[in-house]
Amino acid sequence: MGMRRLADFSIRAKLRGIVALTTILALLVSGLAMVVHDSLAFRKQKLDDLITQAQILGSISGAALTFDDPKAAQEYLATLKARPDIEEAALYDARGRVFASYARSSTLDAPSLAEAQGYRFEGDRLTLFQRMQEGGETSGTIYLRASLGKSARLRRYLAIVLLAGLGALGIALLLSAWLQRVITEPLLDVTEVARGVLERQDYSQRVVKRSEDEVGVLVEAFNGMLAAIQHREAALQEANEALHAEIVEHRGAREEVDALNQDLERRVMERTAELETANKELESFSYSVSHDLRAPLRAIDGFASLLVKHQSDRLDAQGQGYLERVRAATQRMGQLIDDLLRLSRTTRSEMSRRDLDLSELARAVVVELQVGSPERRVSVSVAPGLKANADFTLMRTVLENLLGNAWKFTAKKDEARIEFGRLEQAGDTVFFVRDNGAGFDMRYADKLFGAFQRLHAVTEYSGTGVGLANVQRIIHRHGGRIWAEAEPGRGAAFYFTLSHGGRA
Amino acid sequence: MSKVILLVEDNPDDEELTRVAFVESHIANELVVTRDGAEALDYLFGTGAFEGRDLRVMPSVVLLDLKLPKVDGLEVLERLRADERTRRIPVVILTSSKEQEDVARSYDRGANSYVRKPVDFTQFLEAAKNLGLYWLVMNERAE
Repeated sequence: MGMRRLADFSIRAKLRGIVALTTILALLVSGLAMVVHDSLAFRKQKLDDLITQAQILGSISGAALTFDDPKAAQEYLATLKARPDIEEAALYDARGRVFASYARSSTLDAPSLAEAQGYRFEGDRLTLFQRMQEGGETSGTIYLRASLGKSARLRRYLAIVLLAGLGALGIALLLSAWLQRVITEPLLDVTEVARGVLERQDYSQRVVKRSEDEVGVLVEAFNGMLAAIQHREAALQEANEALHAEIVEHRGAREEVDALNQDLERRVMERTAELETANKELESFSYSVSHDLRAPLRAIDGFASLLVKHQSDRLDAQGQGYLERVRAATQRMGQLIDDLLRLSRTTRSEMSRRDLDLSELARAVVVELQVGSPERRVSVSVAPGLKANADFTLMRTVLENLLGNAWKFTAKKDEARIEFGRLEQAGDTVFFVRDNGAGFDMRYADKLFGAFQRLHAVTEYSGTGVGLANVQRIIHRHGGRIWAEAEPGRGAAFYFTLSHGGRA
Repeated sequence: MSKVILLVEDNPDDEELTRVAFVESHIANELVVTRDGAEALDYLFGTGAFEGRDLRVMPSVVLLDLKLPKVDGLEVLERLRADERTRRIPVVILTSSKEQEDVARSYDRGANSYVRKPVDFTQFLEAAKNLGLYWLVMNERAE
């Protein structure tokens, strides 16, 4: 584990550290100041004391020097035993020679000659030479050397400072313990609650406010924040519940819609299947019709024809006429079957729209009509560039029928005219096929487009009455309309539209 | 060696009319008639009632109806085209229908021609005459 950063220590430890450090620092500085001051004062005091001592010694031993009584001087000096700090002492005569001396220990190091008046501090020692004056003249010199006892003093001082320091530290720690209660406990409260919030997401807890200081403000802010969060959480919870309810509701609705859709789909599928079945039946019906219904007709026509051809001598004219009628009816029946099949194909066939040139298609149909009856002289006018979006095959059937009818019903006209063109009517593009043929009575116009409905006798104009029914179906499949205008003997016009794509 | 025509036709009326039409058109070739698809296949491959038939004699043209009992015309055509011995025999579909589907399916399976039997006997005669002329006289078959 690495060193913990200062910032990572608890506030409690930091406070304790700050108090201890401050205390120790203050003690050190004040202790040092005291030691310095004291040592300076002590030196001054010691010097004064030593000078006074030297003066006393000088005054009492002056006589001994005058009377040259070293013994007495020696005794005076011996009184210095009372002063344990003085290690050595000596008395010099006027000429500077040792007159008497004293040493606390056995060895004496006193200089043999007096030095000039003065003092000096050497290590733990103070050395003093003091002149003795008598009548304005130097009578002798006193030498004193004292131990300062510095290290002992220092030790004492250190002990005092240490003791004081320890005491102060103890007090400081007590103080910090109290401070802790005052400062850190409210903070610890905040911490405790914050931890609870983090762990249990319980925003209902509050910190008790103990003071009005910054921590108090913090506590208030913290409580305010908790209240705000609690409020928001409640709102959120409410919103969530509402949302959940809504989701449940939506899900229900969607399930209902799904069920309805499935039901609808199922029904559509059923209907489609039914329709497909019906279509298949219709198809197989048409198939049977086209195969099976024609075979007997062929037999009737074939054998009737063979009778006419090979047995004509056994039949009179009437009998032969009847056989011809049998043949005609048979062929007409065959034609009806073919037209019926065509009509059913129109309804069943796939329709695919594309852009067509109706003018081109019409011209192609006219060419075929002309080939079919080369003797006819018909003036046909096809407007150029008539475009439409429609199914090609079906539109071909439409034009074959309409132009074919026009061709047919103008057969008895000397100057037959057929016109294919376009006009605009109420915003619609209307195509038309017009002729100057037989026309018809508008009273019967509603029967025009019915299957097998005819407005002319078969003997007059051939046809089965299926063509226009077929055309109408095709136009309706394209989303268009078809109608006709006619006058008997003056001609007919057929109009039709083709929705979305029947454009100019 | 006389050229044989195989007519596959279940309707006796149509068979008779076809015979008459060929006679009227002076087509004297042998006309083999089978009444359904299965019989036609028996004839072509020498099986069933035609067991032991000389298979070197193959029809110059097969006139095949589509709607047949047992095996229908399209299947007969498929089997014909799938077999090495019969794949090159000209097959003319001769039927009542002119439904586009029938026409397309016939050509898809390898029919050489598709002729719709007209109701009008005069037209029928014409068609039979043209068929005989074309497939028996003009057409060159692969040996």
